[in-house]
Amino acid sequence: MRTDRSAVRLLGLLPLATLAALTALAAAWPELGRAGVRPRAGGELLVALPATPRQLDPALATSAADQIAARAVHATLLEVDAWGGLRPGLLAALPEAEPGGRAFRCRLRPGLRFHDGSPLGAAEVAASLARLLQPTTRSPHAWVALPIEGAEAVRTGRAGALSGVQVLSPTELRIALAVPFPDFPRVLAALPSAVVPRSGGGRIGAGPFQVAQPSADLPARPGAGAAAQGALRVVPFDGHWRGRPYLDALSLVGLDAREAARTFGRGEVLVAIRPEPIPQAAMLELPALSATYASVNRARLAGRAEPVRRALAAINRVELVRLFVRGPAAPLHGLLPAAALGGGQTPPSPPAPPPSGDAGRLTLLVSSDAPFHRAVADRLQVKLFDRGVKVAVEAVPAEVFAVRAQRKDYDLALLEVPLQTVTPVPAALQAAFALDGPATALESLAALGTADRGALPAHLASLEERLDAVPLFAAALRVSARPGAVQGLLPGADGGIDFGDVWLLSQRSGNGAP
Amino acid sequence: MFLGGVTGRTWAAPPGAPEPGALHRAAAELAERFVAGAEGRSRVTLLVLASAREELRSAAETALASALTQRGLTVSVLPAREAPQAESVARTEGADWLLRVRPVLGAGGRELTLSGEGLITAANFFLQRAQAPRPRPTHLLTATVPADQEVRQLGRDPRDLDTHGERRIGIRPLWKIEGRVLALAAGDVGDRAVSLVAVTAEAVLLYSAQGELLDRRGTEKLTPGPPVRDPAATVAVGDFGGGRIAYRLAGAAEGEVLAVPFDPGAPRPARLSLAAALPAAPLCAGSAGPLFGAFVPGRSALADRLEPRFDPAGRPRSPREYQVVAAAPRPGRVAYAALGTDDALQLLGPALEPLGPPVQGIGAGFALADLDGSGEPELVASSAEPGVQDRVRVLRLAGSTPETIFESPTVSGSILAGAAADLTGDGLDDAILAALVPGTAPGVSVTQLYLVTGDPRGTP
Repeated sequence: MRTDRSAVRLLGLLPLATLAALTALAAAWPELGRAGVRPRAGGELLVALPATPRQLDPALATSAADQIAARAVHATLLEVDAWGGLRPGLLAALPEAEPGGRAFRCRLRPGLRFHDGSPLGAAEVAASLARLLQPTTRSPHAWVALPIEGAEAVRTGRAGALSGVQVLSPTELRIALAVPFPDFPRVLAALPSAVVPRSGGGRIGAGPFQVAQPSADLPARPGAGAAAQGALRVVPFDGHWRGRPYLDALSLVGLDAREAARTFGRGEVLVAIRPEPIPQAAMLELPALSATYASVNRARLAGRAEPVRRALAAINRVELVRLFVRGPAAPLHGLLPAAALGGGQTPPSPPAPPPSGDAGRLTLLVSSDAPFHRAVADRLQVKLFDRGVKVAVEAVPAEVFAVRAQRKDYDLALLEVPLQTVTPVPAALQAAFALDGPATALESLAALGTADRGALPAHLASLEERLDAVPLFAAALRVSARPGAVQGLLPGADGGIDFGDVWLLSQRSGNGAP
Repeated sequence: MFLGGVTGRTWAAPPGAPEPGALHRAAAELAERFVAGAEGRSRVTLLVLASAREELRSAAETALASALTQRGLTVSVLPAREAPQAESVARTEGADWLLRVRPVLGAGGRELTLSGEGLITAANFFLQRAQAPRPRPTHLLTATVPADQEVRQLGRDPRDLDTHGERRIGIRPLWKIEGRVLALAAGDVGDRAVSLVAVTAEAVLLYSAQGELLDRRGTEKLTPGPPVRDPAATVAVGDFGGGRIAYRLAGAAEGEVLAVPFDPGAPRPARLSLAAALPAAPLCAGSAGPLFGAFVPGRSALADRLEPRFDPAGRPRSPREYQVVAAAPRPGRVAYAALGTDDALQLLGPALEPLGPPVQGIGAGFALADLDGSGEPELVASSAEPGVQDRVRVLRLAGSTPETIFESPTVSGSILAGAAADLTGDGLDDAILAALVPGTAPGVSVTQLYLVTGDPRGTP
């Protein structure tokens, strides 16, 4: 393990409680996180996910399964280690901030290449950042490039490139921001900022694994059970900047809870990343960064918005989490979850306000593909009815939900925001973008970007008021691994797993004397 | 008991006779030298002085008396308790000579030395009047032979032995090194002292046996090769032409041979200087010579190339891959050991011939070290189980199957590298193991060194 002093320095940016939690997280996973033996190459790992990954484009991946797969295929400029520190990824060193925190100089490692052999240089970084904003991409992660000068012109189609990104040489670039944002390097560690080739459709990257061929055409893996059928199978990329991964192949497959437990019990699946615990597994909870909000469309509800919002705010979120959320979760009593803010005591839910009177019949839009969101929506329906708000739940497919959410085509909606960073300001930027669009996000960044730590809670509370979103809960997934079989499975503080570090211990001999 | 004839100054057994033991060879050698200077006088009083152990003294007494008698001398043995008045007793008995001898088991139990002095006690004109001065100076004699198992058993300090009569082996922490030590080696790096060389991803570190950092050479200027995900290195201390330290980092285009220029007039610290580039990975170096190999490109595993002379055009002998290869510092049946990526350790002889079936369950941090002076290296092995704690076993390799003679309590850290040399200066090998332990801050690695030794004194 390389000692990364700069990463340690950057730990100062994290709240102490978060740091303690992260340290505890790493320590709780010793068997799988740190090996006392040298990694062994070879073997194929089948991982059970909530769904089979379909979207590998880091600019578009939003579900947990897609993001896990996208992280295996793509590489970011910076990375977050298990303790929350930043370390160089594709960059040779951490970005150098210019005075004022409005510009950063970045230098790439030499000789970087994509899976298809094409070179990865500063021009590709600039293009990838612009791509996030381009209207044709329709990326829900445009917030990553939003702080960069010229973002608005690209976002509205008036420019193809970001004026704030200067390519200084094939491996150097300067990124100028529209507002001071010292935490901008944290954004460059978020998965959506991964660098993609200008023609790749998101399936070609520079990550540790590459998609060899369409998974449907793959020959059956020798010894593979039925669980592997239809899995996304990726193979090692020899040219990854950290070196070839240990595994010979990684297969990611969507299995429901029962099937995941069954195949895990048979030894066919060695790792499951799902909300539910799996018997006989070594387990680790990833940080609860998937925040769910009840968004109130003030533009549509006008005067009815405030009573509805107050009714939503009065709902007992502790109970909501306990009864309806599967897997590890925590009630949200502020805009950001503890994992991104520093935790602390969970405040009690506010007392229920008096009935608000008839606000008319509203529609609560929910994605039918989001796990347990339908159950949560039904609960909200009941609780809102108790407070005089009549709501009809409308469940739509994820694709439809995404379009309607972006257009704000709803009265109320359950919005899930998979936060990509564990640092408050970038997380708030993402939440503001997801809940209220780019203008609010940029304005919030102007207020938050240079706010000192003491003033941050007030700024976040103010932003929460403005967003017309009631935070409900933050959920996480569990990583379950077969004890003694899998090594190197140490997630970053942001929940990201580098499967390139994972190796199989199976068939090793015991430790007995000969 | 057999005592053979004399050929010049060397005692040799006649053809077909069993080889005499070390004690008898030393006694014969000393007796021969004594007879050569005895001036034809034949009456000798023998006094063998107290040694570390009475058993060794008593056996030396018997062997010497026998050797002197075999050479035609008349020997009278004086009990050790009469040492203060030995000279007068010898005169009273009418002896021509008093031969005082002290047996010493030295060089860490590897050498037996009989140190003697012959005092003439025969009556003469001067001694009729006074006991001093003597008519001629004291006749000093020494005989040194390599110790054998019998002598070692006789000469061992019982305080160093366990209940089974074996040398008491222990493990104790040495110093800590910042970062993760990828490879260790120890030995004489060119300044005639035992040093420790540790390789991290960032630097080559040279330490004295006491833990003083003598020099540091950064690795940042090495030409990079295909990157590897798990950092690894090999390092060896031996004769590499222009220098005695050779190392190679996995992921670097080539290795380096480093020299430590020796200036007898200059005190330490020593300095590392580049002697040459090295296309090979120096796997290890011991009494049977160095071995060279190569990392699998883009991997931290070693290809199946164990070569006394590196052939740049050579190819792996098989698809088998190794984690670590170690050498025994002293000659013996086992000269090398190669740990495969399946945690199976193959013991090899001096000509790289396999010795027995592989030893299973050996962790990456191991060393071959003759801890007990038996003349055969023991295998000092870490655990092959992953975890944040480790334990150390010492396996005796002399028999057909390895036998565990020591097992440590759990030690903090994961042992990932090992080396062997006489760090304590007792003349016997010690093993040095490097364990990765949690650092003082998240993300910071620290290596704790451990010493496995039979020397109760520890490092000097």
